[in-house]
Amino acid sequence: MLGHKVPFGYCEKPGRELFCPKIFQCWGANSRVHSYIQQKYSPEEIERALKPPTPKLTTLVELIQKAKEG
Amino acid sequence: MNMRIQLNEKEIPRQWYNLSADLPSPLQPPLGPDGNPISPDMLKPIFPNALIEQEVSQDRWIDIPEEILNILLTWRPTPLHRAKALEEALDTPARIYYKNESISPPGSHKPNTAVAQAYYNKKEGVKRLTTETGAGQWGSALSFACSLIGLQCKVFMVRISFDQKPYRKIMMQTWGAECVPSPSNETKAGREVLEKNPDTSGSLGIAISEAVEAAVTDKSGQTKYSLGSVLNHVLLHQTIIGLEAKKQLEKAGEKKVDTVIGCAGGGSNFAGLSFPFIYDKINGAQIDIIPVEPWSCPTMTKGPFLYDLGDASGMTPLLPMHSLGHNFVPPPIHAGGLRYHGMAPLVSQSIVEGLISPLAIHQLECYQSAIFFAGTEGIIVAPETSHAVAVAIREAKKAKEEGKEKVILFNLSGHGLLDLSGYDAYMGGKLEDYEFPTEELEKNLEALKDFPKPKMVKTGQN
Repeated sequence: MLGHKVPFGYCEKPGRELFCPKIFQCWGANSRVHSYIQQKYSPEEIERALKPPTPKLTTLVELIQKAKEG
Repeated sequence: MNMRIQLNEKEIPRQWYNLSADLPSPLQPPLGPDGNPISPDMLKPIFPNALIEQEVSQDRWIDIPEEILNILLTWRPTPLHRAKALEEALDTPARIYYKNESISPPGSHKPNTAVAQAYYNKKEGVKRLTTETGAGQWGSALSFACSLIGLQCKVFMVRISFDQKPYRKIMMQTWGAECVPSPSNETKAGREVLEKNPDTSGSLGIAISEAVEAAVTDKSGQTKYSLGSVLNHVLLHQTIIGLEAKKQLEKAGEKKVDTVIGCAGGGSNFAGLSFPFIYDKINGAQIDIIPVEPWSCPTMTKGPFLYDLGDASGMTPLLPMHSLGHNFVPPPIHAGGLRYHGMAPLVSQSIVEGLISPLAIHQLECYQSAIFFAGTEGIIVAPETSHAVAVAIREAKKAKEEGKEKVILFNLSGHGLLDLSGYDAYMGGKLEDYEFPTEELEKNLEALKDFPKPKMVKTGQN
């Protein structure tokens, strides 16, 4: 929830390895986005990036485990 | 006719409503990373027992402790306004009401759960809460609650917002919280990101990682983590909004409500207003219940350029290739709040059950409606809230076309006095909608036609 202008680069590099899974929904009006993503990323990377979002509780448990492992 | 329908302090609801108890098919237990159901013990490092119990509770009504009520009474019950000036300006036969959650000290509905969460943590001996915040609405609400209840509060604020939106940060500091930009050097998660990309603008995902890590790694065991949306217990605490609204509509002489509207990012303010009305709908009432989201970042309605959520192996869209230059920089989209990429399971399940009907609308209509609302009712609403205002206006116009005396209720979830840049951009003609070119859309949908479609399964059924 940012509430201000968001550049494309933010969605492409949202603090993780791959682009945001919502990138086609948010930027869908610009068909060049699709071409750009397809040119820059491999089909495997695209598939990995577009995986359905993990439920919040699952994410929290993952983060707890990660933090415990240090 | 009363323009502002008030409840007195004695009329404040004394129980929250839990929709989990009444969903036609129950939510399935959430699964952990290993695929097995998450047990309460797995959540204990970050949440107090009382909140974990509420998260999984199937009790329909849950008592609100007196101590929480005493704090909520600082600004609750919030008024229900009859939007008479808006009705007259629209020349509609509809009667429009809005629940004004903007009058809380932090200016939104968020403290309804912040106070409850801080209370339960304090009761179980916790000394400090950590959390993440994007634009700062949640961070400021939790800072406020911790200040009143006597807890330390640490907020990891997404760097881009920390730099661009200083006022919420100042609010948090005024309430005694420590607010740091995320990614920070204070956590392993933050350091790893900064090492790879020192100039990153951060993200909610990183900020959550930092906040959880800060809670889990506190060796004293006196730090827990707090989340402002999505989870069942958060939505539960927000139901006080709808429960008050029902009493107020009755006071206003309304026998039934036809349409209930709320904007939906993570789902908490929408749920807060609507869940008590969903209860009525489950029990036979005819009510249109509409969560509204932005066209530019849809979660519930999805954009036309869909990947299929139901099958991970078929998710890559086959789309036409175009040649690209090296200077590929699409124009920025203005995300007027509601840019949260996860919907509350209870809201998602209500969609699957057909109890609510989500709608996505464009930002220009939102701001146009918000300015019209400010000109008639006087309140400058938050960019998120403008989505609800826009659909309320749509519904009022529809009532006029149909010649029906509808009763419309929406949640004014927060004021926009700290988020005026969106208004400025709109009035300066700098905002635009993002329309899909029809031909392009059809071409792409054709390319997607052989991909597996998502399976919509009601939970508890196969």
